[in-house]
Amino acid sequence: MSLILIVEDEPAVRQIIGDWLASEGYQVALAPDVEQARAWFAAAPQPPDAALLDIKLPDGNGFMLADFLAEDHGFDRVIFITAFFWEEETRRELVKRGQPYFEKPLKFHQQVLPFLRRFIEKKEP
Amino acid sequence: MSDRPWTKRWTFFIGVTLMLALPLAMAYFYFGNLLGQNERNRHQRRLNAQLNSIQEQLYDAKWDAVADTYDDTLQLGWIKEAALLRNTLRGYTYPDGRNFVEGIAVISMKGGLRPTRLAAVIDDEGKPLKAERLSELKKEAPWLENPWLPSYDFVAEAFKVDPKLKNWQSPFIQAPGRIVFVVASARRKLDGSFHSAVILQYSLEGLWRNLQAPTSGELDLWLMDSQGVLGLATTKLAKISANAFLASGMLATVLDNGGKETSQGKLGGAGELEQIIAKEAMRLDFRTLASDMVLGVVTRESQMGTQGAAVLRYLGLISLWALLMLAVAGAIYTVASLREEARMVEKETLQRYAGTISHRVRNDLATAMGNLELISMGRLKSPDRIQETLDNSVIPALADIQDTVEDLERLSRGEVDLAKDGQLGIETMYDVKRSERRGENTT
Repeated sequence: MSLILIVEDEPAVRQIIGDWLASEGYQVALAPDVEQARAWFAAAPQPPDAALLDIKLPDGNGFMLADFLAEDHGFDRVIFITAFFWEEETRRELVKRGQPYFEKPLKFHQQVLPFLRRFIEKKEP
Repeated sequence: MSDRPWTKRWTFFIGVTLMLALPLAMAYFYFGNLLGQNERNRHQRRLNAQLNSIQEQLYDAKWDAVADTYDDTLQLGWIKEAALLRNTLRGYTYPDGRNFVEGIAVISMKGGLRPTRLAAVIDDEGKPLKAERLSELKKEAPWLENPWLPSYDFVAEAFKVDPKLKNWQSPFIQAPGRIVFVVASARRKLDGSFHSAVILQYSLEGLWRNLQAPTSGELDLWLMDSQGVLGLATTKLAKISANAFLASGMLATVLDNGGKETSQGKLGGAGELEQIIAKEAMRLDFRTLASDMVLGVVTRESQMGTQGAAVLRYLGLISLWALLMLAVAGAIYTVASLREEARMVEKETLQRYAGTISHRVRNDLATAMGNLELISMGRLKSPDRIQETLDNSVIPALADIQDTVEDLERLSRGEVDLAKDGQLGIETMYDVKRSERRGENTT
């Protein structure tokens, strides 16, 4: 069973993402900000198969968190989610990084779940 | 929105204006003082030169007269005595008879005039003036043919009192229609007693008009003798100054110093005094002719350095005008700049608020659509769970969207204001004021 870390500051959004992934049979871990996400990662016995990171977070942003995870844990299986794709700075950074991202509102059935499945399968040998 | 940009810009504008104005004002006062002082110095040098020149002319006039009258004493008793005296008189005659020596005469032992007296009615060639011209001149000077005083015993008396006196200058004497004075040389007998004297009688007004006025400009000048008689005052101010000088009791002291200076080979004394006339500060520059007379020129302190002050005043006005124009231009620029900045701030605020709205609505949509999709895909089977999801997630998200739309409508009607609503990275976020936001102040 694949483990997915969801880092999202909006409780309702965090909840629906969690519900969707759980309904698909994924094991879900939830964190509302950068600090708790890093704490969870440090305590986790193994890294998740993927991490869905919101970009705008109360104590930082998803890019910053992705950099921490890469540096501290060598983890780069991140998918960004954002309601700020319209913002030039955010869009430029997403393009520069070349990592996958979804724009809110998420279309779970059509986009997120199929992509996530491929994303996780791709990781496995 | 903050009013700091307005404060900052105006502070900058006022600062720059003051930075321009202060050096300008300092320069104005500095150069005003410098120009005024320079002009005062220049004025003083020019005045000193004029006074020295007049002093020298008076000195020359006296000693020319002394020399001539002394020469003439050697001719007394000769048969051509009258002709010789005429030659002396001719030396003081200006063309057309406008002389400053009224006449030359021989004074007897008792002070009477001898028949050889000659009045200034000759032309510069020593010939009598034409009757027509003489008649014209006599309209101004009726005494022209007979300038003599009733008695000259004061001349004889002066030489008798001082047995060693060879020549003498009289005080000023009020004659009909004018003031005169006499320069005389004595002829003495072998025992030293007075025998007779040759006199030159000066018209003070003629001396001034023909000899000194052309070089004196428009000075407030006066001339006073050793007795305190005012012989000449070119203006009313000069007359007041002379009377004030006399009243001050300085005459004797000034003449005494003049006599001492002359005994040391100088033309006379020189100095300056302060006078207050009609509560106005004046400066009196004076010269003496030995101890015989005092020549004074009075100048208003307020008028000294006025030309430089006037030039500077014009310069100051031009500078002030330029500064005002600069200040007006700066103020216009500041206002325009602030308005532009306000427009930009307003634009950015709206941009950031649009971002806030977008973020909020997208999250609401994510919640609502995600849950509806969950239900539509049959992932929630229990009716209770479906109801719970609708009540707790979908409906609040849609309500939030509705509140947001209503906030936008109220904002468009000007019923609510935008305010800062946190910071995301370097971006300041704006939203409708929390207290005015839909759903925030309801329980």
